[in-house]
Amino acid sequence: MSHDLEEAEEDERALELSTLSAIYPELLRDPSDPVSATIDIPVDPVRPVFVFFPPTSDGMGPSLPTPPESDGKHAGSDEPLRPAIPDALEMHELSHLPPVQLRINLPSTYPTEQPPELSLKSVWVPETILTRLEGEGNILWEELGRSQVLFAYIDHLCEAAGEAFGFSSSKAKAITISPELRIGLLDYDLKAKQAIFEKATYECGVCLEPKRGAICHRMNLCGHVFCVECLQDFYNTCIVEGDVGSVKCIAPKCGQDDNLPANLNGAPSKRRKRDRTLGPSELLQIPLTQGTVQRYVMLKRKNALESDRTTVYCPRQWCQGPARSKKTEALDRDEDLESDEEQQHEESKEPQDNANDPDSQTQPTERLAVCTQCAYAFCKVCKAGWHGDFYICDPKRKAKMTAEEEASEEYIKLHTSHCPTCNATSQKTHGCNHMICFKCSSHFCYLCSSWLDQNNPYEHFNNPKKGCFQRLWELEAGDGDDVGRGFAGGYESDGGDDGFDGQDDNPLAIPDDVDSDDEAFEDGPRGAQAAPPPRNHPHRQQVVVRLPPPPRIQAAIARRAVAGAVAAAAPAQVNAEAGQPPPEVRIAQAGPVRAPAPRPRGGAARRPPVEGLQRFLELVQNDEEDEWDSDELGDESDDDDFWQIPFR
Amino acid sequence: MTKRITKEFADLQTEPPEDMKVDLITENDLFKWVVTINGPKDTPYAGGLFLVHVILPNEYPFKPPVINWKTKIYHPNVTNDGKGTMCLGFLRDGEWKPSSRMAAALEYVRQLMIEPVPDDAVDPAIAEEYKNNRKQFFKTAKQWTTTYAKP
Repeated sequence: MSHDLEEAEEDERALELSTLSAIYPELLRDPSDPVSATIDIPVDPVRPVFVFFPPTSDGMGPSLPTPPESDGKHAGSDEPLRPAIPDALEMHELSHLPPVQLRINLPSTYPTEQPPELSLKSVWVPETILTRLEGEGNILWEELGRSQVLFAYIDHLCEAAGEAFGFSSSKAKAITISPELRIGLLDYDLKAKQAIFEKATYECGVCLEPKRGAICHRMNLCGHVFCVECLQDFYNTCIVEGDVGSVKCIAPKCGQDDNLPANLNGAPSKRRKRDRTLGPSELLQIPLTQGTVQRYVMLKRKNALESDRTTVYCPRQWCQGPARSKKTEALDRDEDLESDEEQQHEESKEPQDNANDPDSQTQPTERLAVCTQCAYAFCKVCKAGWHGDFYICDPKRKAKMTAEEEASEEYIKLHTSHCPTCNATSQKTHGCNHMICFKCSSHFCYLCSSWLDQNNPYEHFNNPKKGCFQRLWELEAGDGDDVGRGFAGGYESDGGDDGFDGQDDNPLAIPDDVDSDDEAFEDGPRGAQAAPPPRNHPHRQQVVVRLPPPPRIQAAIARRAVAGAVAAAAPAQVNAEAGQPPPEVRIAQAGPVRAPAPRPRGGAARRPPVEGLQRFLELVQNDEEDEWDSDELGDESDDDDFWQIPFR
Repeated sequence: MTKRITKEFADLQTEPPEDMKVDLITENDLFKWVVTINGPKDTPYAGGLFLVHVILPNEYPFKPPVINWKTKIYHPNVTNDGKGTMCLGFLRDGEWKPSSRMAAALEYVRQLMIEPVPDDAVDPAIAEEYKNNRKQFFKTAKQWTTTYAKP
């Protein structure tokens, strides 16, 4: 204490201030001026105050350029209560508000002639109220007969602060405060609560021991308090054992009643009123280790995937990881733990958004699924490698099919061919393999579903490079027992249904091993008679092209298609070579179809033949078909590069 | 967590639940309790003395206690297989919370003697009888009490 101050102790005014600082140690005396001081009056109202922060008008941040600390003016006085209906989201219940600063200066004739000079400063209390409070100092001074008034005045202020300066604790009369102060005030409230929490003592319901708040955790949603040690013990055990469902508040009956305290922010908890499941951010707050929380998130996600019937699993048998549609891909990639709450929220809504109703025709873009584990892109509907949006594929939904439907499905697979343009299935009852689609009038080959040039349809059967060379009259008596002489048809199902047969059934997947091919030839009714030269595997081409599974359009349509196509079989114009018996038989297709072919580039790589067709059709439309090389459809090459779409 | 068990056990000594007395089965094993229950008044179990073993799992209180009736009891919620197990309400694994207490569990057991829960029964025949032929249920239960639960 300076010499001046000591000397001034003699002064009555200074004496009053030093007495006051004994009562209020937080009183700050001005070392340069013995007759002035400042004191912060804490504002911890007995009942919490409702505060409403109106949204900023422009939505672009603070509307007032001055920082809140610059002066006490703009706090609330400039913004009278707006008639706007308070938004529940911006309504906060605060129990602790920043203190109001009182600056005292005692004039030389105080207390007998002059009242104390009092000035109040606050970031949030409206100016009108501050002025009124300042005025009350004078009144008090007069009431006390112009004597020392400081203690009585400070006491009066503290009392007023306890009542939040008259602000009502009812929601209807919430105090409106500039939104700039929102974060500051909420943060102040939170920190004050935390400080109080840390100083208090709680009995942990698990270890039944009293613990300081500092080593306890208060549940964000329900406010129950347990010691950190017990929570760590319990949640770690749960997460290690995979029992993530138990990672919720451990208070008995918590979440079973509806009357819940508001959460720590004073804002009523908006969601998960009944479900006290802890989010990863709260677990980290407790704290659990990052690794444990990651495992928790992983298990939660896994559970969500497993309980969501729209989840698709990777068709690769060695992977079988969960894969989802494009929509969820972003969610799955998002490893940010903090955002997980929202994520869970979205996930819960997702089944509706993304309703993958197998009965409805799935939109093309929704068919793409990418495995979250091995990044394999495949079609959700046919489980084959991703074939692009414009390919109509055959949905796998055997689980939903009756035995009759399944048999019908099998039959359609075995004994029909589909139009390369509109994908309508057709069954040949008799005649040659030059077909005209009953629906769209495309000309195509019944054996391989290749598009045929209307003006020269038989070139396809007369070109030695093609797999259908000299096979115009194959299946002359029709395709299927009931229509012809018992030909087994072009597509033999593997029959076995292991639930993951996407690839087994994938006609586009061709195995490398010759064994299965041979087997298939033996199995086939007519296959044995003319095994193809292994070098060229000429049957492959027709496998590839013929076999994109017929579309799983409603059975009725398929049947109609069959009926229609029967009538549409084009009259064959036999040419000399066409009559010869075909050198090899398409039963051979059975082999490739049956063998599992989990080759990484699988279906995706083999898609181009169809695209070749599409490209050709495009060229036709532009009168550029001369540019097209029929080899684009592919035949004798085993080379994967072959399947790439050539650039010209 | 032996500290918690010690505390719970001590609390049950000073303030035992109504009609109950809690002891350790063996002096040095805190995890095995024997509870002696006097059949509550106005129940067919009145006048009987029932012994119940309470086994606290090693993971206690993260896992619920296991309750076995050593005395045969005619009750829809207790198995009649020599083990006398009881598994319902918050004694179930999924519903037990680590902050649930033994005092509450024992009080729950007593409450069940007063009012069985036939809809969650382990013995459907007894539950059926309890629901539809209360008189017969009372008669048999009383008979069992005099036969097996002699003080």
